[in-house]
Amino acid sequence: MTTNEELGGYLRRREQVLGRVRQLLIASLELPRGPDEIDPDTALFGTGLGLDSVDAVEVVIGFELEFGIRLSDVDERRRALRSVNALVDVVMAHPERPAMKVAS
Amino acid sequence: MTDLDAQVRALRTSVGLNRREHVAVVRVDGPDAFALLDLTSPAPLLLREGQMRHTLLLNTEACPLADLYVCSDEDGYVVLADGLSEAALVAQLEGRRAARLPAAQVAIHPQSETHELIGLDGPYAWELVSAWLGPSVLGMPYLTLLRVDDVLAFRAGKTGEFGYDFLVPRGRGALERLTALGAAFDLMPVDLPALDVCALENGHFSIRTVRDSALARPLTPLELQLQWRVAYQRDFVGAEALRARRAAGAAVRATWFTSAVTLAPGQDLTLDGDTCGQVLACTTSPTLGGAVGIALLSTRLAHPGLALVAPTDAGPVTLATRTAPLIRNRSLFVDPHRHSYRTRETETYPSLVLA
Repeated sequence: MTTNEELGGYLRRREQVLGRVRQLLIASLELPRGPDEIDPDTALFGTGLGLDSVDAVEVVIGFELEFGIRLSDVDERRRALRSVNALVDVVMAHPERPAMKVAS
Repeated sequence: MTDLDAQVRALRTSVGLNRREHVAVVRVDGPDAFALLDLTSPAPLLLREGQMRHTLLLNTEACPLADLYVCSDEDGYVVLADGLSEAALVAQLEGRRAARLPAAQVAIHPQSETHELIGLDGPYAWELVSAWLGPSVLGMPYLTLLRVDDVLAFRAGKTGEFGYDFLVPRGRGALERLTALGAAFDLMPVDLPALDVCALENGHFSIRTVRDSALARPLTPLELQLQWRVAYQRDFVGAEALRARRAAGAAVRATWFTSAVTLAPGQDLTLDGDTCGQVLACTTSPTLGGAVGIALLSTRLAHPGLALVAPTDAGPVTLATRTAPLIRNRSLFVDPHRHSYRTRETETYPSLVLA
């Protein structure tokens, strides 16, 4: 990134994706927290949010529905589920696409 | 390879043994033990027997005094505090009781006279623990405690690898027994600096990061990305200050980085020539071959993926903000059901260094 415009665009997209990941975690896991209480580098498992394997399934499914990105590769999934920012990184590495919303 | 390099290498590939002399341990019991600890902890303490909560001890300005584990044991609670002496921890708890619960029926029992705390960390720590205490410890979930004979075992750890603490009676030969069994695991004594390097590589908080900080700015869980250890609606010492800080918004946020060389705490950081933050902590990373650190950056810029410059006296140094953890922990790939230290050479593990 060399220009202010590029930097601004990167930061805007990153904040937007971070907001969507936070909302995804809150909604799919029924977390009793507001979005701003979920720090970007919060770990998902063990420390941090302390999620379990059942939660992992919820997160992976919700992530695919929200971002249209399937975490099918084992190593990619393991890395993506380490923290909130790690999920954001996966989205940032993909071209922007609309959310896959399932009609309720 | 320096001594520190060897110790970090042991923590990352085999097992390290640390005498947790930097951790104060007290027992808290009595009818009002929960009330006192509930007032002390920013995180909810709804714990079943055998569960631990990783939280913080905050001062009235909401700045961390200690990295805390509150553990529910059968007779009360065990508190492990990294960052305070035993006397200071007792004083903090007694002070809170006097100020907020003067009639509380609570007994606080320092443990150092009769017990010592020993730690094992590493991708094969579980195997050594099992050889020492039996297979029951293999099923311990993270953040739980288990009593095996006269040993109280805690499963925790701040290196990103399998980690255990053991409260053992003094004079019973526990250390000698572990050392003898550890020969089969190339067990290495490791010091606190090695543990702190591993914590930094993994994005774990170390109380020494803020306690030894060269920065005058007071840091709360908001700036340190530790809000997961806090519940804002609770009443605890420091709650008012933390809620006020949250309402005002954090001006800076801790962000991890890597660089080719170690930078001094307090070093200014720039982006396109403008100052955007300072180094909070930085250390050589034997695992990565460069340096890892934490920067305090303006909140708008506190994201991974940025190239910053530190204008040092020796010349400009480029650093990259990153997503923690900064390494690939071997423990994620070691399966206690299938693997063993003695057959590790037959396994193919991915590199510790992330691409």
